Formats: sequence, structure tokens, C-alpha cells
Amino acid sequence: MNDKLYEGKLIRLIPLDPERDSEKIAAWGKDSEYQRLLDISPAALFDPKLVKNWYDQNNSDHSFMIQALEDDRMIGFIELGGFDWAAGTAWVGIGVGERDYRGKGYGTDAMKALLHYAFTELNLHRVNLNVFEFNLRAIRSYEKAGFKYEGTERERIYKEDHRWDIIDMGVLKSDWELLQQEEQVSIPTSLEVNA
Amino acid sequence: MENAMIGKSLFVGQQVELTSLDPEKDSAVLSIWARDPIFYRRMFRRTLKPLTVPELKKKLQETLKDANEKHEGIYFAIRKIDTPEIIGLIWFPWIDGQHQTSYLGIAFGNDEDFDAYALETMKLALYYAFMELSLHRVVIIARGNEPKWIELIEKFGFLREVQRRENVFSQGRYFDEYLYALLKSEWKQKQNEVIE
Repeated sequence: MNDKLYEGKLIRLIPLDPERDSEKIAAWGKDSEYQRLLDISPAALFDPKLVKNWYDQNNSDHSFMIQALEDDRMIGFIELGGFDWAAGTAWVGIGVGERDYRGKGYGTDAMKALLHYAFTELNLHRVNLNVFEFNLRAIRSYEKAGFKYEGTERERIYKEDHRWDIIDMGVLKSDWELLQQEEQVSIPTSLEVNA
Repeated sequence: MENAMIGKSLFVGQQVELTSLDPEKDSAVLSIWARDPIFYRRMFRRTLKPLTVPELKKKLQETLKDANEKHEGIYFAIRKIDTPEIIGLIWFPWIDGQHQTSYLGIAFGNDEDFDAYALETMKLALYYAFMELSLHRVVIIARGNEPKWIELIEKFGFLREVQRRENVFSQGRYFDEYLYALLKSEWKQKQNEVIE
């Protein structure tokens, strides 16, 4: 069996199981910063049962839990949804719920694994995402995974008595393929520079 | 002054009026329009699928019921004043009250009606959006294969904020998809200009 498709350098993606994972997903929501980085709808607290119902009703999404390779902990989730199969497009959402695992490359690694799945198995043409202007860490992460800036939705979010922008990003299969080639050649090049 | 503004009709213009959408009467016409892929995508956004009149009627009934119950969506049929035939549609599919924003959809059944009535319809739609729904921001989605439509929304001051490269597939090729937005402050500034 070859399940390396779902594995990155730091994480593996495993199918999100609402029965097993709803409790954990609901618990992450107690961190209001996490909710505000993830979604523009009002931060609220949901019972695990409601979380489970939500996933049961939205099962056309391709939802994964992100599991750290080093200790097998479930640290976040990532999912593709909103498919347009004729155009080959979808939207991605990601959240690293465990605070200790943020800003350390786990999310970027999960996104890379997901894009690999999206482009080499689902044959998508492009993947879309939205990110909020106050989430600079995420913007940098998405750029590393291959996403390109495609525009700014001005004053889209009204929170903290302030209107914030939403940033739109997208990655085409061709962008992603180019990045794979560059990453392959960049390893010997950097060694040469160091030498 | 305030009373006079409240008395101004939100629905009746010079040539067209915004009326209720009637799934019973309007579905037959809409099912013909839905055979145009550009209309279909604008209305339903997703991959094309053949729709019978009963299917379309059911879809409309469900959409209107949902919009009415959740207070998140508003739909209007555009008709020439004092005539029963529908010539187009306006809709605000997801009114986001928290952030005071909504998408605006407008579609006409044929090019002649677009040429004759789109401008006035747009004025009514934007007045309703900013002065009745009290939105801060109105968003319109346009695609690379809708040049007339893009020309119209740019006339009204909508700014192209996002260009989603090759996000739509139609007529055998990819097109870019654009997100256009107009803020209330920008719309107000434009009120002193004649848009034609």
C-alpha cells in the first residue's frame, strides 16, 4: 500500500471523522482568536453534537484532520469544498487548532500535501482561498505553498469597530507545477552557494 | 425632507419596476433563459445541468422560502411598468448583516432589454442596497465573457478588486472571474453625476 500521497515532511492528512473528531474541533473553538482567524461569522461556542451534525450535512467536502508525524497528535483540519467540477476549481480552508503547533511550518506542510492531492489526483485546475488582512502568518504560509495574490476585498469585515480587508489568493495547477520544479532544483543550488 | 425621502418609491422607476418573483408564472420564461450558459451561471453559479420547468419552479420556490425565512436573501422580478412579462431579475442572495455587505445579481433575458433597461434597473438596485438594506459594500461577480456587463458596472464606479485567473470554464475555454465592489461612500459621491 502506498499512502504517501497524504504525507508531508511534518504531517499526514487523515480523513476527518465527525464521530471521532467533533469533540476536538469544538474544543479548538474556545480559543476566540482561532475562530476570528478562521471565519468572519460571529465567534460562538458550539456543542460537539452541533459540530458533528454540521459535518454530517456537508459531506461533499473533502475534509482531513492534520496529524503531526512526530507525536500523532491531531493539530488541525484542512478541507476542500465548493467544487466546480467543470472548471476544476475548489476552495480550501485550513485551521491549526493547537496553539503550540502554529508558526512552525505544520500548516504550510499540510497545505502542500493538500495541493498535491488536489492537482495530481482530483485533477483540479485551480484552488481558491480567502484570508483576512490581520492574518499575516497565514498569508506568508499560503505564498510558500504556491498561492498568488489575486486581489483585496476592501472593508469586507466589520469587527473591533473597524473595517478590515479580505485578501483573495489562488493557485493554478501550472503555478504549482512550476513551484515543484523550482523546489527540486533549489536544493543543489543553495548547497553550492553555501559551499 | 426626511418624510419626502421615505415616500420616494424604492420599486417604481421611469420605465421599469421591481416586482415580486412568482415561481408559478415566471418559471417557464426563466427555464428558457437558463438555456443561455451565461445566464445560467450568473443565476446558479455552478456547473450547468438541464432544468425542466417544474425543476426550476421547485428551485425558485425553495430559494424564495429560504430567503424569506432566514431574512438573508431578497429577490425581485424586473418588469416594464404595467406589463406582466418578466424581463429580468435582481437578487441579493446572501445579505451579511453583521458586515453590512451583499452580493448583487442582475440578469436580463435578452440583449435588447439589457440595452434599454439595465441602467435604470441598476440605479434602483443600488438605491435599494444602500438606502434600504443600509449596506456598506455591494459586490458583483462578472466573468471575462460578459463585456457589456463589465462596462455597465464600471460606469457605476464599481472597482475590480479581485481577478480570479481561469476560474470559469465555458464555451470550450477558461475565463477569469472578477469580483467588483462599490462602497456606500463611493456610491454617494456618484449621485451628483449623470450616469448614462
